[in-house]
Amino acid sequence: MVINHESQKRFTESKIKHLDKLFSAYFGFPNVFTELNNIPNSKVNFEIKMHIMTLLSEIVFQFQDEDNRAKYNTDRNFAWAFLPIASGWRRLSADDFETTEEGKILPSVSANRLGSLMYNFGAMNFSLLNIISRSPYGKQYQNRYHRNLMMMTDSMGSQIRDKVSDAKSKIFWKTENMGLGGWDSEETLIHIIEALYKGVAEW
Amino acid sequence: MVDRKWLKHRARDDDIENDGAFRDTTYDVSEWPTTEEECVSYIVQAPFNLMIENTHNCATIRFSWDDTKDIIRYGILAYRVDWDWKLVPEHYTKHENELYYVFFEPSKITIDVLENVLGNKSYKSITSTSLKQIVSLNELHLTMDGKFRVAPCGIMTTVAIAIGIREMEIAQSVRKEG
Repeated sequence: MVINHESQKRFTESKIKHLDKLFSAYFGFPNVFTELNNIPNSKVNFEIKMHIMTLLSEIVFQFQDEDNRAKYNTDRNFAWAFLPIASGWRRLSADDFETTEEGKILPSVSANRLGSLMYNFGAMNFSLLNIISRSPYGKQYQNRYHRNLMMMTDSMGSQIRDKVSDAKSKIFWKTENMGLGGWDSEETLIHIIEALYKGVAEW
Repeated sequence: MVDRKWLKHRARDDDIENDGAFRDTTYDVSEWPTTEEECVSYIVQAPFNLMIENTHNCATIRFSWDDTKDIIRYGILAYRVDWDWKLVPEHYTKHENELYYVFFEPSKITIDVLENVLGNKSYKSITSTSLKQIVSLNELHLTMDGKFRVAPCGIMTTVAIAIGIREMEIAQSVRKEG
């Protein structure tokens, strides 16, 4: 059966517009969701595109929730460590993974949705969040949301080894194409970053 | 088919004895090459198979003996790297002739080496940390508090591919006792 990926769009036009504005307000990258949505499936696998859009929408909604909470409650400031995606990642443990010949994978149905969201295509997720966290123009132009995202991403990154480690095994990640293809295939990540930067002025 | 198995978790064949037990590899520092010719010949061969000069996408790498000769005894190589992201001209990530360090065996690099040999003083009062196989003091590759970043990064990965590292190791680095 041929699957028509175009018919599987999970983001409506109005939601995409809303997310574009919200993401731009927090992280300074305009039209990200529109541009991601417009990438042809021939360049970026539909599943990956949806994965990235879901991840970025979770991030921006969680930042908005935490921002609102911090504004209206004086008990504590904005705290990235309490974002659900950070705690979902923190809860992932070696027991959640299945061992395969190639590496550790999470079962397709995981009780920890946000931990799985961050782990699946993890090399790409980390690279992308790393770029976003530096702001469109570099570290000196970061706002407090960029800085919080950067601390969150770095903290998650420092835990990678603990997620799958046992005392005797070595941990590696594949460098070629960020683990998303072979040496000969086009790099997925570059199209996603291209979409990220398309709306940024003065480039 | 999309590859989800970006993180590998296994032992290298070289680390396993014939009886299946883990081999405790300890390098004899006297074995490290002491001249540029010996070093180049050493790293281009198996098991390292590293490049001396290469360009991959936005990264151009050059092995630097001048920067390596004083640190190779710790199991560290130095590369000079140019990075220019063609997609966005004059992007803030652009850098030239930047030093990147490659560890032969990251798990054997102590925090003391990070501090005293590579000059990263951000590990004060830390006794254990994660460390990946390539690091740089360029701020793109440092965390907010100045430690070497562990999370996957597109730039570092591209540099690693240019150098010839197909699998990046993440190790635990500890402070030398006493």
